[in-house]
Amino acid sequence: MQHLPKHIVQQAQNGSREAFAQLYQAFSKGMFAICVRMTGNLSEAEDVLHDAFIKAFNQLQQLKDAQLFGGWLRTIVINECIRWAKTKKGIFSLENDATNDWVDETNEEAWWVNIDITLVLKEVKALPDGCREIFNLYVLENMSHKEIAYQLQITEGTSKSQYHRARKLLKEKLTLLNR
Amino acid sequence: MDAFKKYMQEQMQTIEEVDTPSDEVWQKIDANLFQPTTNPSKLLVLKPFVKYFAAACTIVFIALAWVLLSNKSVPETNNSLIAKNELVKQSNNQQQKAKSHTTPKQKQPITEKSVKPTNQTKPGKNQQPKIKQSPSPSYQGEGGIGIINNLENSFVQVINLQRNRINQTPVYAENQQYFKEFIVQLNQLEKEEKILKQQVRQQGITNEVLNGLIDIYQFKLTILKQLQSEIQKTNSKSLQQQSPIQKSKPYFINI
Repeated sequence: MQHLPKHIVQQAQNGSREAFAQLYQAFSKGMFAICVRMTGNLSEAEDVLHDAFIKAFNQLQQLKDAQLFGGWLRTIVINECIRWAKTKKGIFSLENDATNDWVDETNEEAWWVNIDITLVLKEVKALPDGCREIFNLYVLENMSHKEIAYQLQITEGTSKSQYHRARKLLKEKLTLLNR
Repeated sequence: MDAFKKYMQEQMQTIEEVDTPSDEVWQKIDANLFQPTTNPSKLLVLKPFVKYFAAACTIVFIALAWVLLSNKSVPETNNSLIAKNELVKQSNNQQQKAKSHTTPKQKQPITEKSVKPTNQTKPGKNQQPKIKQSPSPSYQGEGGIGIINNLENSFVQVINLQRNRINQTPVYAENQQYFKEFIVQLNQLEKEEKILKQQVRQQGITNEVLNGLIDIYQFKLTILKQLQSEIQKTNSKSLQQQSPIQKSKPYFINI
């Protein structure tokens, strides 16, 4: 994550428009990537990014240590993505999905090793609603299934099921593409 | 941690993000950022003259509302200045009648420091003439509280009206924590009000106590009004952003 001089954050805390612009310039791309992975489309990702930055800049006074700005901003962005996900009612439901063929993580062959990571990320973005958000939170944001369940107000079982669904879909798609 | 998750996390360190937001995003942020918004954390940071102006407007509004609604005579109006003068006159009359009840210990009026609610500064206060050490009024205890209750009744009607209005307003956005700051401040004012009333019971009523209570009631009204405004603002923003199908379930703040 990019690190900016501390004084830029402090200037922003004093209300400097230029400092806000510099912070946006430095962090928007990385934060936008999170939003795109979570929402799956550019337009909604931009809305979430906008809301996250507005919230961050309005609450900047609460940040005591200017050097922690990057991590603090990332938390706000993730929370905004979660808030966005919660507005999509029913996407975490697994009524029509088979939940019996969970991946055996201990014995699974490493099918992903020879696949370009950018291709993997491209397919992650294309995952269906529901499992895409949970995959991102669990794998890329390193949240536990318990935390995900609490944040998204679903059960821990649903979180795990959606994750395994995402893995299964990725494996099917990527091994097909890699042939 | 499963192997795939570990692999993904390792690889994420190496990649460069290709998606960039459009310029419009920053333009919207820039435009929205410097619109004046009510920040709960800056709720009570008002310049003195603005505070006095707001207090004066509140007093005038209350006075007009009371006169128009009740058609009562001047001593019963809600004007806090007139009410205050009447109450002080009453206190002086009763002091003269009840001289024999005073004791040396009770002669000291409540100091400004002990009476003044937190978060308030009144630059003009120090310039007021010191209150003479008058014999303790005979309306300590229940008598003093009776006078305070009369004062409170003048304000409580409007305060309760505003409270009910807020309690009945559905909130479509933000969780209750967002408005917590307002409720914390109201609770703080309630505590300070109780402390002042206790002082009236124990030591009688003085100008400082009276001013302190009036300030508290005025502040309560200001906070309630700002809370109402903030709810309306966040509601309209949320309702604009959400489609009718996606409208989140409203909740009600209970003050």
